[in-house]
Amino acid sequence: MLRAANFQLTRPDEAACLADLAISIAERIQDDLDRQRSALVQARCLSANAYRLARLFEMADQTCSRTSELLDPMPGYDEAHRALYCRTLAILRWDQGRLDEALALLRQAWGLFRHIKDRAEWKTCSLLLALLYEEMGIPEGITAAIGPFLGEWSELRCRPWLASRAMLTFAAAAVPADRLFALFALDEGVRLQGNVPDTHEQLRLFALEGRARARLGFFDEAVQMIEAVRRQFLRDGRLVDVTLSSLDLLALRVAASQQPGVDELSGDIESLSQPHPVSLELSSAALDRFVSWVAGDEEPWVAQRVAATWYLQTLRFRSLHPCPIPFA
Amino acid sequence: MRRRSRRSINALIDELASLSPRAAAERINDDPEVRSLEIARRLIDRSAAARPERPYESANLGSMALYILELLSSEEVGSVAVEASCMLAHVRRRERDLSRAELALQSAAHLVAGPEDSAHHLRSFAILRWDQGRCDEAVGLLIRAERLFRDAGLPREASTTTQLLVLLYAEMGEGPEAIGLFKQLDQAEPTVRPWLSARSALVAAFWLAHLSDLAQPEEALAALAKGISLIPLVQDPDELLELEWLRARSLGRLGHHEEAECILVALRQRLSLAEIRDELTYCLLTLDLIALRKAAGKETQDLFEDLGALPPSTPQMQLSTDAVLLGTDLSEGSDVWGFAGSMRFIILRAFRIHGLPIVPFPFA
Repeated sequence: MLRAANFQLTRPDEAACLADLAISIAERIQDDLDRQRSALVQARCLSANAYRLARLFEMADQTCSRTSELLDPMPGYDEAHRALYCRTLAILRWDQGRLDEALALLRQAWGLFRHIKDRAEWKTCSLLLALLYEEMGIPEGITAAIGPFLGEWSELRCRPWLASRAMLTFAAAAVPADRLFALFALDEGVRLQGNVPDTHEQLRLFALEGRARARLGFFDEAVQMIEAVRRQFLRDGRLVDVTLSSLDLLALRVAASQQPGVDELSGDIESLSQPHPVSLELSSAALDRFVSWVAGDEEPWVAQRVAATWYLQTLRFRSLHPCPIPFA
Repeated sequence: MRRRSRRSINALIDELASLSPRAAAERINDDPEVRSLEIARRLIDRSAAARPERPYESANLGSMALYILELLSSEEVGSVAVEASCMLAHVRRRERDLSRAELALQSAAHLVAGPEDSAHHLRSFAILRWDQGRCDEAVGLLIRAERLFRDAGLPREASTTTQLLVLLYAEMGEGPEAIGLFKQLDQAEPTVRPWLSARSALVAAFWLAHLSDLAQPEEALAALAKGISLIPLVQDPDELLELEWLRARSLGRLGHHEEAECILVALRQRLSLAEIRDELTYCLLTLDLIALRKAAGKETQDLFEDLGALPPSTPQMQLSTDAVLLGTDLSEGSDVWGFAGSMRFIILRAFRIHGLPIVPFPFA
C-alpha cells in the first residue's frame, strides 16, 4: 500500500495495479476481520484515487461504491475510514465537475477528521476546501478554511503542493480584507514552493504567486512571473495551462489599466496543435467570456475566476480535462 | 401537433391520473398527442400538488410525466431537464432501480445552474445515497442542499431538507444531532410536506425523551403533540402506518406503555392480514414491540416464539430475524431502546447495501 501511495502521482497506472494487489491480499486476511476491513478500506481508497489520477473515473466510482459497503456509520465508529472515503470520493467528484457534491463530501470528511482530532488530516481537508471554494467563487470560505491554521502552519506536515497552493490562494483572496495576513500567506506559499518536485506544478504555483502579487499591487513583478510561466507552458504545448495563465494575464492587465491584448493571447492559443479542435475553441471562448464580462463592468479578478471555472467545468463535463487534481 | 384546449388537456390529465401506471404507459404509447411537453409539465404540477398529502399518488403522476419526457428529445425537454431528472430519480428509486436513478441524476449534472437547481439535485442524490446505505454521503449532501436552498431564498425547502436530516441522523443513532436540528426548525412555518413534518416531529419526540439530559420532558411532549396534530393531513395508508408506528415508539419511550403497545399490536395485526406481508416491516415492528415490553418489564416470550416460527422467504430475512431474536435477548439489562435502534439501523443498512426489498423513502 505504501508503494502504491508513493507511485500515485508519478505512475498512476502502476499505483492502481499495486493498490489492486493490496486489495486481493487484504481480502485474504481471515484471522482478524477488523484488520481485514481496515486494510480493505484503505487499499480501495488508494485504488480509487489511482484510477482517478489515471482518468478512469468510472472505475474510480465503482471502487468507491464497493468501499462504502465496508464502512460502519454507527455513531462514533470507524470515523477515520469514513473520513478517508468521503475525501477520496470528494476529489473524484471535483474532477468530474460535480463541485457542489465535492464540497458536500469534503465538508463531511473535514467534520469527521475534526471529530477524531486528527489535526494533520483535518488541515489537509481545510486546504482542499480552500481550493474548492476558490474555484466555486466563495472567498469567505477560503478565509474560514485556512484562517484557523495560520498560527500553527509549520507544526503540521502536509503535501507541499497543496500547502503552497492553498497559501497562495489565501494570499490572493485575503487582500481586500487583511493585507498583512495576505503578505504572510504569500511568503509562506513561496517558501513551500521549493518542496514541490513536479516542474509543471511549480509553474502553476508561480502563476498563482503572480496572481497574489498582482492583487497586492506588485504589478511589474506579477506581469513578469505570469508572462514567463505562460511562455513556458506555450513551449510545452500545454493548452489548459496556457489558457488559465492567459486569463490571469488579462485580469492583471485590466486591473493595471493596461490594454488587455486579447488578440495576441488568442493567437498564441490558436497556434497550438491539439488532438481535439474543440479544445482550442473552448480556450478562445474562455478568453472571449472574460472580455465580455469585463466589458459589462465586472471586476477583472472576478471575471478571471468565473471564466476559468467555466472553462475547467466545460472541459470536465466533456471529458477533455487532461490533468486530474494531483492529490495522493 | 394540434394545439389542445385547456379543457381537453385537463380532461386528459384527469384520465391519465385515474389509470394504473401500466395502463397510463399504454395510453401514452398509443396517442402521440399525449406525448407533449405541455402534458408532462401539467403532470409534474399535479404531482407537486399531490406531494404534501399523497406522496404515492404524487410519485405515480411524476412517473407518467417522466415517461413522456423520456420519449421527447433533449431540446424539447430543455429547462425542465434538471427537475425532470430529479423526479425520474425518485421514481426509479421507488421502483428499487437504484442504478437507473443514479444515471438519471448523473445525466443532469452538467445542466445544473444556480443554487436552486443545485439544491434539488443534491437533495435527490442524498436520498438516493440514503437508499443505498451510504449514510455519510447522504448527510453531507443534505447539509449542502439545505444551505443552497437558503441561499436561493427558499426557506421552506430548506426546512424540508432539515427535516430529512433529522430523520437520517435519528436512523443512524445520532440522537443529539437530530434533536439539535429539530430545535432549529421554525415550528410555526407552514409545512410543505405534512407527512415529513409529522415524521420528523415524532422521531424528535422519541429522541427528546430518550436523551433526557439534553431536553426537558415538556419538549418531548410538545414534539409528540406537533407530530400527532399533522397526522390527519396525511392520506396515504402506507404513510399512516409509518406515522402510527413512530407515534407508538415515542409514546413508549415517554412511558405510555399500554397505549404504545395497543398501536404496535394493531399494526402487526394489520400486516399479518395483508395479502403480501412485508416481512422486514413485520420483523422491525416486532423488534420495537419486544423493546417496549422489555422497557415495561413485561414478558416477551410469545413474540420471540412468533418471530422464530416465521418461515422467512430469503436468507437475508432469516438473518434479520435471527439478529432480532439474538440481539434483543442479549440486550437484557441494558439500554433496550438504544439497542433496538442500533439493531434496526444495522438491518436496514444491510438490506440497502445489498439491494434487498425494502419500502423506499416516499420523497418526491
